[in-house]
Amino acid sequence: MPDLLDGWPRSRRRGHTVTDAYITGVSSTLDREYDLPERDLALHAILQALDGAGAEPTDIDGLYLPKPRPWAEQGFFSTLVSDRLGVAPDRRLEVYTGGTSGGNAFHAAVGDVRAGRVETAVVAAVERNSTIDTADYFEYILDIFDREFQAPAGPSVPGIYAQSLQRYCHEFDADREAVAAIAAKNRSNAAGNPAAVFGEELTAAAVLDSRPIADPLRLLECPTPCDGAAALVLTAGAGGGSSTAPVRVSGVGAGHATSHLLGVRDGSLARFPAVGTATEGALADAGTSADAVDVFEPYAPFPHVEAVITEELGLYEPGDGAAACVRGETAVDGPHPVSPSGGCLGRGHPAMVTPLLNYIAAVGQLRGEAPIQVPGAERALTTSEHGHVDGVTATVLEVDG
Amino acid sequence: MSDRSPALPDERYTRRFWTALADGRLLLHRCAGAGCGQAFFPPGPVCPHCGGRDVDWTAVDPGGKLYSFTRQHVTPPGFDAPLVVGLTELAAGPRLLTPIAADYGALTVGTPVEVVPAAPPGEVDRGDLADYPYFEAVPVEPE
Ligand SMILES: [Zn+2]
Repeated sequence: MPDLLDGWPRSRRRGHTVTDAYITGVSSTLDREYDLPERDLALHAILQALDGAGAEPTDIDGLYLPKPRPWAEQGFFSTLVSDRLGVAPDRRLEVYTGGTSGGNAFHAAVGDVRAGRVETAVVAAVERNSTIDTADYFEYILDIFDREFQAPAGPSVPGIYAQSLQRYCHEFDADREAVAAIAAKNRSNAAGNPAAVFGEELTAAAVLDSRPIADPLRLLECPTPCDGAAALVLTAGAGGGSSTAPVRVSGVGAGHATSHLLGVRDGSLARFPAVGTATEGALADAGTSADAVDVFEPYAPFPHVEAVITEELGLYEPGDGAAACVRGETAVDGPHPVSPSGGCLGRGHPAMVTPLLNYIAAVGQLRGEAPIQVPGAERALTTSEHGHVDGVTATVLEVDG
Repeated sequence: MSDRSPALPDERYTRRFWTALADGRLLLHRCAGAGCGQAFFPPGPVCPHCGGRDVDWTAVDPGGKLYSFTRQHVTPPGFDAPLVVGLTELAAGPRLLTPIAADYGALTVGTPVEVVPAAPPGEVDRGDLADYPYFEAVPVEPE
């Protein structure tokens, strides 16, 4: 049965007072390397996003940040940023849950705006991967694995995802080249996105020709860390200061699996149930369905993750998500466009910033300003994930037509 | 505190796993009593399948099948590349991440393996467990 209230602002839909949260300002910056402290990158992003929203730092009453990575020089980052901005927000938090940090910070802000606790929230993230050498990064990664039972085996993040890719191909007889086609699509999409760092017109064969990182994963199927910062302004109500179409946060959802990097015990390593839980929650909150989403900007650091996300969304049968890419169905002009921004693989992947980059890519689509535009996009869905998709956030954004 | 609350362990909860492994035995946990009865790993005070708290140590057959595997060409410091690691699914149920003592090209999903005590493949500070063997999966002839 169609939801007749589909698309209505939640305040009216619910029949009681719930304030809608709108994204009224965005800013992002991304490159291989910035020779600037995290502080300056973050302040620049925040001020630019405030300008877009027609707001001033003194308007900020909520500040929400992923805690910068352990190798960032500056600790207590959110208090430092508040001090430099001259603000004393009612709510302020720094959250660290790996790749979902940005998603959790954003959802905390949405919750406070919806509850009426905050009127002008800033969500900001910064990450510099140029400041950590490979050996130290690997040491950090070993520590996210179970120190006692997993780390002594020497696992890496690609090494774990390589194993879910093995299962994806094994269980669903998925074509290996179809999986690589997803990486080719996203890197090719990024070639049309001036803000992306790793855009390149590529074929699936060229992806499979790149050197192996963790068999069967190839270099061009792995995201490249880089430096970047991003900020969004969330306001209670659409506001008057913004010159462009206000984008409403219509749905939020989260999923947390019983797993620590090795998949759920009772199921396949090639299924990511936290995605299903999170997206179902977000779509229900928005009163809509996956079929009615015009564009997806998921957090998919490896190509089969994007395929499984489309499968968990119910758009495709298990194993068919990769084939759908080959059929062109997830291309920008397909029925279910996925990652027109280039996503993690094409844009570059500072993990604390990536969830915000996904929101911002979605906002660009809904405003009709995306570099690779899905014509007439009115509803977008984004995700974030951490570990081996052990935790997921999902968010639905819409423009009120 | 209720009567149900356990006492603080007087040593690392998982010590018996390592002591048994050093002895060549694979000692995991099994959900007992009115619980689901499934074996699980790593050992801990709550059954991750059903939430049951009546759990007990159980020796299991070290045999299983390779559930998935990879060959890492980029490895953490202290680990030689390439490094073959994978997930062994024991006949008893649980999956363990292990180094694999075999060439990548000799492996397929489903290769019969045994999980046996072995020196860890690289240098990870294991703290007070440093003197215990770690484990690895070794291909075996199919039964
Ligand atoms: Zn149980």
